[in-house]
Amino acid sequence: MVDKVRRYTPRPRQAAQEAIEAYIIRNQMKGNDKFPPERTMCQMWGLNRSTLRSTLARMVSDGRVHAVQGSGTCFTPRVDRVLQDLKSFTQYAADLGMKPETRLLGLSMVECDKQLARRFQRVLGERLYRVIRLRMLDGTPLMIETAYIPAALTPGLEERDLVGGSLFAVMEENYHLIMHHGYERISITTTTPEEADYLGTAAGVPAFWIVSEVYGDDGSLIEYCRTIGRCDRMQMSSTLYWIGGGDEG
Amino acid sequence: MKDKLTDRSPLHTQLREVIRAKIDEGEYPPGTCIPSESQLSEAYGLNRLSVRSALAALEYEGLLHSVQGKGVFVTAPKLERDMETLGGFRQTMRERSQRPGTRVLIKALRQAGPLYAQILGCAPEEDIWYVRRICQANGKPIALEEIFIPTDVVPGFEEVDINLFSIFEVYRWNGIYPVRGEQRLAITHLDPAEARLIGLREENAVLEFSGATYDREGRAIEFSRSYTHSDRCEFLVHFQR
Repeated sequence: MVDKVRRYTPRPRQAAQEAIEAYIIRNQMKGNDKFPPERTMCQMWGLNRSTLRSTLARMVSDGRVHAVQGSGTCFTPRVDRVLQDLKSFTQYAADLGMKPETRLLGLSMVECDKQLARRFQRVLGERLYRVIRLRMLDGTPLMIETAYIPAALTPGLEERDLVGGSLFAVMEENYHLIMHHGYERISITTTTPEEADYLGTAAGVPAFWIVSEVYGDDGSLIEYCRTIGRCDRMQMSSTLYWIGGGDEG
Repeated sequence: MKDKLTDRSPLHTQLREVIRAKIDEGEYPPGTCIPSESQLSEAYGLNRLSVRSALAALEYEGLLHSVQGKGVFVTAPKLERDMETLGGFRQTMRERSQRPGTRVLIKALRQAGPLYAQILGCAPEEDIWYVRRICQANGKPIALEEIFIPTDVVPGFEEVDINLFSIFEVYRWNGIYPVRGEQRLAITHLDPAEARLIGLREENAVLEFSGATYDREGRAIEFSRSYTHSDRCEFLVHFQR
């Protein structure tokens, strides 16, 4: 039953990508830091020009790097959305030293349809605020958030400042609604022409599709939110800890 | 409770305790195959029926696991704690409730190279283990996974059949307990040949889930990366204030 030990040699393009990723880490690239000229990269890593080019092209389409006319290849910074903390957009923008900006794309009152009524455990026709906001960092559009909040919980929400900070801050300060726990589901969608317009991408490109629910301390759903996010400008990250992993064995 | 053995004990019971001792003492390490029924019957001069009954008892206890056409394998002691229980937040793939399976495409040694040398803290020319496999739920491919492991983390890895055992089990056998994992979720595209492996056309985007896992000493024990078919699977994150 002994497997024969095989040897694996990465394919040229894979080796090229590994070399580039290693370079990014080693040089702690950020902002729009420049890569060395193609010729230098080829020499440095023993790659042929066409392998390097096809690898870079692939990384461009994934939004890892971008080409700048006249100055070669640059690193594309991504916003890291840390999943497990409930930090608001405003707060993590501040942590990143970036300037957050929010545009209100729509604010309306909608009635619970069957799906929403079931989700909120409310009656058909009960009113919900629907707040659609575009979030930007340093002028780059990142995501569109469509949030639903029961109108009964937040009367007069339309009077509040919905672009200055987080909705949760508004809900906590004005309505004493405390977010207690929640979840997010993350998958992929493609942008519609309208969404692409706001996000500044081509229509039909893949994007993050995030559905979240946040519950108050009485266990009731206080916000349901659907987010579409640019995958070339953001990624999600988290650190997890295994309970008890340290004291076994 | 083990029965007190004497030379008057039934032979199948004696054989059972012989095998148990060899498992305990590490002569038959977890993940490996023990000698076949006929080898055991020849070695101890017992009839096949006695051998079978000894093995059946150990299988019933969960120490052995027989696989049709492959042999009888030593399993690892059952874990008391749920390895997937995480402090602070939990993250699961929705298909966990379904029947998981893997199909190993590559299990080989490769040079760490510049990237994995940095991540795993070894020299670029050092060898590391490279595993490439398809993860399935109810027999349907849902993700293509790559795992990079420093060789000293899993001595004897070449002998372990990772179609049968999870790599986390292998770490446990080696006394290694992951305590911290860094995870990153991004969207990317696969090469056409890779995309086909998980039932995707090339133009479909996939969720790329990657990260390093660390043990108590802060040593990187693996780096893994999986490409997930997003129609078949999504990521779920719980958070708590």
